[in-house]
Amino acid sequence: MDMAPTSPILEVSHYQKRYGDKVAVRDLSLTVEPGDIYGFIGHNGAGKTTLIRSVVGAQDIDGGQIKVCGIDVARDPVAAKRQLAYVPDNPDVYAFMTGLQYLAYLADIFRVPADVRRQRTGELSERLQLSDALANPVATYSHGMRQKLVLIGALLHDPRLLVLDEPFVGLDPVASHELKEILHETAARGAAVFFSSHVLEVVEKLCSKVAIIRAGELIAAGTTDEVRGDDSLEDIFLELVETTDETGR
Amino acid sequence: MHDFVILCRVQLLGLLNSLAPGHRNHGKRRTKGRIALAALGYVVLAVICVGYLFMMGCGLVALGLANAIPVFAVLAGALGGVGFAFAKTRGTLFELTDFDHVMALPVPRRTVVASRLASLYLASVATSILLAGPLYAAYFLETGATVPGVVCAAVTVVLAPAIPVSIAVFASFGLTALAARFRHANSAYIVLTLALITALVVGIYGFSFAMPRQDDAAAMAMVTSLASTASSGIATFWPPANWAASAVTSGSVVSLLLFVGLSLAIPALTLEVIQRNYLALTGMLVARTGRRSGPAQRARADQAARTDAAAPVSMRSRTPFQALLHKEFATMVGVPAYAINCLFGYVFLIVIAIALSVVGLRDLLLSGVIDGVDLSAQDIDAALGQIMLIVPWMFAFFATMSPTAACSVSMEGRGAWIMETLPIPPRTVLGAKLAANAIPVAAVLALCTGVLLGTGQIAPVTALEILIVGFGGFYLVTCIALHLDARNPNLDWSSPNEVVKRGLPVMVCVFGGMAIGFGGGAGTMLLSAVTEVTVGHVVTLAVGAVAIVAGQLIFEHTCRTAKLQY
Repeated sequence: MDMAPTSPILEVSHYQKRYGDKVAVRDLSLTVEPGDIYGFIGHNGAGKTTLIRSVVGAQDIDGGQIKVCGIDVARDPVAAKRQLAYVPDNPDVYAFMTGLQYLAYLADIFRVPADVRRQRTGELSERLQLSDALANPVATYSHGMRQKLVLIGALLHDPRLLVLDEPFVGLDPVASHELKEILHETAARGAAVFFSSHVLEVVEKLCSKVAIIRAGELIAAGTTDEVRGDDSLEDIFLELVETTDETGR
Repeated sequence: MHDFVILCRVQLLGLLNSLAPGHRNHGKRRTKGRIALAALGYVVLAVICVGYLFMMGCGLVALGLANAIPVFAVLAGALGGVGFAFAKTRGTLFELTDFDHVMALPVPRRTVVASRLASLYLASVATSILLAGPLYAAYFLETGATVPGVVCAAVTVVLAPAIPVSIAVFASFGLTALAARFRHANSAYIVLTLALITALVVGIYGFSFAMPRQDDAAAMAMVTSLASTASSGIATFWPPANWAASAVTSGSVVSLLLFVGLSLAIPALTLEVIQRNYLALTGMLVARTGRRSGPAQRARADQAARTDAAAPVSMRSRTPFQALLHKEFATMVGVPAYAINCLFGYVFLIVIAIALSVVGLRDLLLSGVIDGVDLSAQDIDAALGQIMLIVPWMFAFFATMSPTAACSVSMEGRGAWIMETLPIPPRTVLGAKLAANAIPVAAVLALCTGVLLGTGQIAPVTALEILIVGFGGFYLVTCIALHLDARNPNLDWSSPNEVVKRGLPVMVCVFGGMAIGFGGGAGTMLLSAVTEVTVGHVVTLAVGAVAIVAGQLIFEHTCRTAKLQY
């Protein structure tokens, strides 16, 4: 689908998700533009992963609409998924495959040409220091190594939207630094990054925009400077969460 | 003791959950209901097992071998749990998913190991009670139950598995340690296990086939002689069985003390050896390819990585469907429990085809190797046309014993997010899972048909029936099972056995295959007896074709309704 350069990469409109009688997320709207690195923060159980799973098409939605590059995720999930890549918080992949086999599998699914996949695999595995382990079964990988492998797999097909759930968990300092560089490069080439994290310092330094969710409701959203004002993001986050607690809103 | 009980309780809860695993969104009531249903199923199986063994005991009594029963009972109790212990040791003792968590608890290592061994042992005792109890019941009905005799019998039932389980634990560790060093360990393990089981089945039936057919009196004399010889042999080569039998039959206190002493000493020694070396033993298993130290090994690993990195990524480009298909085959080979439990059918299909080709159906029926079939040569010749109608249904039954697709969605496990987020329609994903099962089944059926046709054992019409009914029966049952699995998969399994052995979709295949195989065979044979053989052939082909169409309709419905979002 052709998109105007300024069309949002991710549009979430009045999103709602229920689990039985419990409303996990209600009436949430946000927009991610090309070039954005968008941080999504909230307490445990706030609804971050719920939204993320609906964005990437891993679960359906009970209200509202989600569009990726203008494609409605509910109506045309396959086309929407071609535009994005997902890195979950638990990088569970097929333990019986080697790292290379896993990457080849994803490259085949996303129809990445052979020369492109070879070049990107080599480059990313060198940057994330995973080259030596790629020939080994994933069963032998540590958590951090699996995280790196899943990240490489996500970047193979050059997605327009990179969605990550707690991406810095389990990464060593070198890999964390490389991941930040990669996210900057992704945004710089006109794609967008949308990720959740509990590490507010990283969000504050890395993200151009941030949204705060509490108990399934969006309580703040905008550029990082707008949201934090003169304080730190941590202070604002704690203040907003406590204020919401007191007012019940 | 307090810590020991707590650790055992956790394992029991894990076992209960694995018996009837629920979906992550199931409520308590539904989960309890599933556990109750699973328990009922196991009770039914236990009742059948007890009844069968009791009849066996009565048979030994009828042969005048009542005094040999205790030896057989102890052997049954000893061996019954060995297979279970051997298969479960790896996951229960040496490759715990919660190893770090448990070992970090303020609990002595001996207690941790004891709780794990206890779970293996208790499961073996339960099996021993099921197998040995009915035999002893038959014995005591004949000889009269005395208090000392019953007490001794009870003690032997409880302690019979102790020594064999200890041996099985060490054997399992040895094989696991060996497998950890071997790159293609999983494949070798699968091939070896399937080969052993095939050899066992072929051996048993081959032995039965080689025994000359006898009249009833001669057969009884032969069986009596065999049972007596076996009893003596067991007593000679497995002294604990002899001691236990002496304690039960003659009340020998010395024999009882010997039996009890050794049955407690060996497991105690096992516990001590394992707990002292537990960290070293588990460490050995963790050290696999790629984690070896030393500059030479690292250089080799670098070279291998670069070589492997270049070739596969550049050369092996596949279409998405091919990639999915390849992944399904890799899963089958990569998860031994999946392969061993779901590939039996292929092996049996080929074995049956070869057996029929070599021996011929007529000679097979004449040999008496098939239980319940006792026909003269004239009877067989007269009814051969009708009997041949059963053959395709027999192949249909064994084809359903290879249900890799039935649990293929559940087998995604915690990696299901990959399937959920791929830009691939559910139809393509499910189609690959079904094709990965259907293609080998069709190929094996074609191979079997070719072998039987080539050796002149079947007519062309039977060959066609084997293909259509064999594939149709498999296809219908597997599509139903796949529908169930896609609608409500178990993605939270901690052991693949929860899915491939105890999952509902696989059970549907097992019972569905039995219904189709036995029902179809009996039905067409009966129909042909009432009408004529030609009618039987027509109905067989028609039912096979309908099964294929019905299966495809069910698959289409699954593709329309399955979102693969969990």
